[in-house]
Amino acid sequence: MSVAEIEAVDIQLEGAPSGLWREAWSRLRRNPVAIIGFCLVAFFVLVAILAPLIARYNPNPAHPDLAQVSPGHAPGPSAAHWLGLDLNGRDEWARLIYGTRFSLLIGFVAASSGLSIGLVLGSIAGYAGGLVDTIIMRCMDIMLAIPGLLLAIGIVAMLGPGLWQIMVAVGITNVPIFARLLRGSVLAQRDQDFVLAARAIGVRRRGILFSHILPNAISPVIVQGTLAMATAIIDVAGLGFLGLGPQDPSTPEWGTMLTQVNQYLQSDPLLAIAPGVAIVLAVLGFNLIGDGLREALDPKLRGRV
Amino acid sequence: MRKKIVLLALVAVGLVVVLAACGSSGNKSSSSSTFVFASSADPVLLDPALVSDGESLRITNQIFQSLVSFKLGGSEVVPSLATSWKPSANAMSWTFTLRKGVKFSDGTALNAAAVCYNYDRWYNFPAALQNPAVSYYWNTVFGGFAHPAKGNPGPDKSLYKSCTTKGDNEVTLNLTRRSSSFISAIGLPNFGIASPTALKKYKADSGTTDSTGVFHPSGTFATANPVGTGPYMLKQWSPNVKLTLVANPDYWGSKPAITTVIYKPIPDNTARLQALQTGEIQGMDYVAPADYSTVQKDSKLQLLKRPVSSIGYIGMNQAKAPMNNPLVREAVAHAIDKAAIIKAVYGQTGEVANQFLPPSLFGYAKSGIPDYAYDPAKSKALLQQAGLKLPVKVDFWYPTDVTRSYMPDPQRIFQAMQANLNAAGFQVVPHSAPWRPDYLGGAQSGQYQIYLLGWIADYYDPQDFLNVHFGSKTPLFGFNNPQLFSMLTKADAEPNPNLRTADYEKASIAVMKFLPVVPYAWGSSALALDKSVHGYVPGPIGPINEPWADLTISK
Repeated sequence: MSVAEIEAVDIQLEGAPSGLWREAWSRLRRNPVAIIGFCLVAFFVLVAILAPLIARYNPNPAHPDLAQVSPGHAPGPSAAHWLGLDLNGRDEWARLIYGTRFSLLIGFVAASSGLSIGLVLGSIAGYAGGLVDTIIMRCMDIMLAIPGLLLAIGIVAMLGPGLWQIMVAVGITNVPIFARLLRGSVLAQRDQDFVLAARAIGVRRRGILFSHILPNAISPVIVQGTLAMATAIIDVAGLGFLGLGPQDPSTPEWGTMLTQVNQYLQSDPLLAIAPGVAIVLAVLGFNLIGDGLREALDPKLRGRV
Repeated sequence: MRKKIVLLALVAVGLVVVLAACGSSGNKSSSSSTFVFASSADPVLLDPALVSDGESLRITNQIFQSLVSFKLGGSEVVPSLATSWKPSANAMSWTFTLRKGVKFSDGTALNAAAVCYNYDRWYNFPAALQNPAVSYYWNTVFGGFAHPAKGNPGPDKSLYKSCTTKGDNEVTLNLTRRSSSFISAIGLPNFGIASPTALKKYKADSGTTDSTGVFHPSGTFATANPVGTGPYMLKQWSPNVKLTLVANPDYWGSKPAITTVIYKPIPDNTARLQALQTGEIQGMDYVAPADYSTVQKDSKLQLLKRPVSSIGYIGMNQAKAPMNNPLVREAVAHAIDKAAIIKAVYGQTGEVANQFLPPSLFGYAKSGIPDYAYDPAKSKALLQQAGLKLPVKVDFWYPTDVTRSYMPDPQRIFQAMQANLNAAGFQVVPHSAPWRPDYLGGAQSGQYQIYLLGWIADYYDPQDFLNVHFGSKTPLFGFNNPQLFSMLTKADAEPNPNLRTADYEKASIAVMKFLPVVPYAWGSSALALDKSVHGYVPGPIGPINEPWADLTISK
């Protein structure tokens, strides 16, 4: 083999991972469901960023228009207030728009903190094996044995209700899911030939784990990550609904907004429907992306462009 | 697939049959001599001496009667088992003349000895029944026991001294000190006279009290055999399902037109209203504020509003600076837009309060109350005058999981006040806690700086509003004002009703000048009845003085 030939092989080998992603991307592009998911999520992210421009009103005005409200009656949609006023005389549209910020941020922080801790624990367990693996994974099993929302409620009960506490609680419930997933992937990769080769030429353990195993084991985690975003938004709304949400009841968070109209469902259904629809659409967006990504990254479907 | 369709059809047919059955049973119960009534909770026990909740007292008030009673729809004391009464010269002994020919529903006679038996029973309660959560009203009104268990108040704290009889029809209650609220207190259904024979036979006093203050009787007096002199007697009680009362054939007064009353607990507000709309029940209590207009628009229903009788206030703990500064308390009072909050949150269930006593109670001051009008600019000026840097940070607490007539939706009230205070130079730090036990415990132990709270009278007397709150130093408010304390003590002890009223009017003004709390709402509740029901008189003290014996149902 000439030097040129060897170099060509080298280039091909290096190109392989980017080929995987490129292939996945082209599959994703042709999946209309995933595109819808992307559009939904992009829409909500834009709304969150541009909230001050779209909202038209302050979600917590200094002088809310209480005069328009009475028990069992909040003024409905009008030209001035697109979704009407809420039961405290504040613009419902503005609260919904600013709520996007809170709900997305909380969902993102919760899912990503769960992901990063789970990632570290899972890869250590999977790569180290033995006693370390047993200890970490048994702890994860214990956490998995408790239903997610219940565990989150327990953690919030310990920490006290509040925005940060909810994020921590939902994050912690996500840790074992990611840890388990990653440990499985790492185990599958650990005995592959390329790992053996790397070990043979004397690459350090940390180097093997982070440069060779993790990149190959990460794709299911990305899928799980988008799905976790969806469940985190629901869990956060759920905790907010149970009254464990932000201490400040005037925070425009979707779940909290839902709880507060609980007893006025019959008279002012729109005030419950609006945040409800927002939650459904955001969750749907993340779920569709997750499903699309899973199909795109499925090795069995590789080559079918 | 076909199997599924058949199954669906079967389910549908089944549903129709069940619905039809429900419909017909609903029609049956609306015959003229039966009245079906629902409220939000089941009674706890049917021995009035051992309960303090409105639902238990609603029922026991139909079965038992006290020496005196209250005028329907008001708070004046009127004769009941006693036809007349008079205090001794020093107002420490009260002599009651009993109504003649009254019998308990077990056939035994009501006489002076039976009355004394009841008062001595309460005074001699065993340890399990001395728990303030069990015999709340004896503890509140009379304050002591003959043989106190460790830690409980003894004869030295008791207002009650002894009971003596003269013949069959004269009873004298001897007190250890003068008290003018005593006579309205004993009109409460809690001091209903029970048959001594039945109390002994069904072992009314035996049982245990658990650590949460719930009494578990081992006898059956309080669950199956309550025997009193009232127009109704218990037929059957299936806890959490229904309770049936039938007319007492031996009743001394005019016989009730409705011979059977069925009480059902339906906790969910919406379900209760739906039961009324479908005709399953003919009356319900506690209409949700949001449903008032629904009831008023329904041609088959009537809405009966009770007079406002409870007070909602912002409590300010003076042990937590800067609440000890009167200027800061005034700033809070001027910051709150009471009228807007009442309109938006209370609707027809509340009125703007300018003082602590509701208008229907004597001692309410018609004039002379300082005016704390809504004026955020003035609040800011007052805070600056107090030498504080704006915004002034305040820890503001509100309860969750609770609705009260003075506080129909605490979270909404809080949010409105939060906006008010933030616009008036304060910076609100929001806190919340579940109503029971956390919130009440936290407020009563003085942990909160400012907080939402309120009061529903135990008995309708200014003593139970003003003295209870401002008559002594409490951690709840954290102030020491000996002048106010002695003013209230003197008002309560005054035996002359006219002078007493004047004293309490002065005290009402003094309280609002000192401003330990910002009263903002007088609350009330409402009942909804079928239009065919007549004669229901809604009163300020609610279910505990709303007898069913005077009702009639038209066809």
